[in-house]
Amino acid sequence: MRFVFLLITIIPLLGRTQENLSLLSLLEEDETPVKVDAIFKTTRIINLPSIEQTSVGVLDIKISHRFGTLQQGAYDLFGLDNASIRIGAEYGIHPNLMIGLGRSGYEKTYDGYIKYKWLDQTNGKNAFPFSMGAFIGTSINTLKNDNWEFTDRASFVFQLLLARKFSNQLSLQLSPTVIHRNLVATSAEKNTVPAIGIGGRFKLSNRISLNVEYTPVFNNFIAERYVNSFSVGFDIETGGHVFQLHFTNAIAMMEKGYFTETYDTWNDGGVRFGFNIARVFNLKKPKLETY
Amino acid sequence: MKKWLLFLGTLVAFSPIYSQKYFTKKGRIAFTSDAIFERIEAVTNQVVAVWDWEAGKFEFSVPIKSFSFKIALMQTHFNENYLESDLYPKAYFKGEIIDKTLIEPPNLYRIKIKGDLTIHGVTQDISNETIVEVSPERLKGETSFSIAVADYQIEIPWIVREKVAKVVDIVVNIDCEPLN
Repeated sequence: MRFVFLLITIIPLLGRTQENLSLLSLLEEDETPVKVDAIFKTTRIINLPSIEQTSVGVLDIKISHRFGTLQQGAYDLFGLDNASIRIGAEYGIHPNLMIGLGRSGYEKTYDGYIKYKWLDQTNGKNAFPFSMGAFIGTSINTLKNDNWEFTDRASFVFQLLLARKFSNQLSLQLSPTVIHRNLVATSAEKNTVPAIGIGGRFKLSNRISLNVEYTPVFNNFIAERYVNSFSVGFDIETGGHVFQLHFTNAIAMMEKGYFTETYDTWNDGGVRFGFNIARVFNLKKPKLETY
Repeated sequence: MKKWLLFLGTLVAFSPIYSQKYFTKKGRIAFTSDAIFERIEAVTNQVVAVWDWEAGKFEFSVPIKSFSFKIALMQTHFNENYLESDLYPKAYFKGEIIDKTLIEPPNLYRIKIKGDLTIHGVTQDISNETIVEVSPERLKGETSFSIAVADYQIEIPWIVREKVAKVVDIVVNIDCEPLN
């Protein structure tokens, strides 16, 4: 009997010695997967649409310039005398859906698109290895030409966006792409062109990243004088702005243009300096309950 | 007599007062950075807290990514540039009660606490005084304090010096239930 008494008093005391352990370990860890965010700094890698979405209620105004080629030399201040411009706007409708509009000087083109993301890369238990979305767009050139019907002026782009943040620094994206032009210049060119967009970024610091992208087109779908675009540049983030400064051989800033109509080559100094400036405006301020 | 002793022993041994612990997974932390040009506010409801009231010990943890901001870009910058939440996903507080006064029976206590606050991988000593309500069913309290961002090696670039405050005000709210 005395033994039982002893046992009963001692057992809880034994329990108390465990209190040196972390109190938090008494709770089970939450096993909800955590979304990987900020795979890229903004909605474009350079020309390529990135997996990033404009946040809900946010208007993102993008002003982009591509200057003349460097080979023009000092007379043109290495291309700075000539600029091709795109003015664009993007808006987040839903956490997974955004829309965009733009107007380029290149062939006086209007472009519009939607981007939808349906899978997020996640960390933690049941992690998913990459994010997945789609970019669907159209562009209409408005050059004066009486021989063209409206439908002749249109082209379309379908892109699957597969992106993965490999580490805090390194993110890569693959964008299998199909471009359809309603009208092409010669019979040697195909109306429908398969291509692939490859892009990546490496963060040099929290606010600066090095971006590279390449947009190879499958052989024999575009005229011989056209080449694949290759671009390299930096994202520089300062508060509400993202500055993207880069060198590229593409002059067009819509998919149909830089994928299928890039004619300058890096080898011959056919490289242009360019920049995209993004500025976000909050049109809808979600309410936040604070004290 | 022996029966009585046994009864008494059992009572003492299993009395809840010995091992009363409380927990919550829905605690709340709000913080405010009040700079000249910009007021930044954020809040989370995913604070995990465990209290061992008798032992006078408690711990908090909060996922940095759970803080939500009014402006989405602020949240991105907060995680990417300031708190670096991929590298330091959680903030912790490990504290103890160094003084406890019953100010309003039966269950309102004024407590003095001290402990280690870890944010952005940097640990600093913090002490504070607050009032908690403790009953067998719950442990409830609120406290506020301020921290200097620089103490946690969170750099504020020169370009946003008028937009991000050097000292951030923090309000913590918990309402814990017994932990079995």
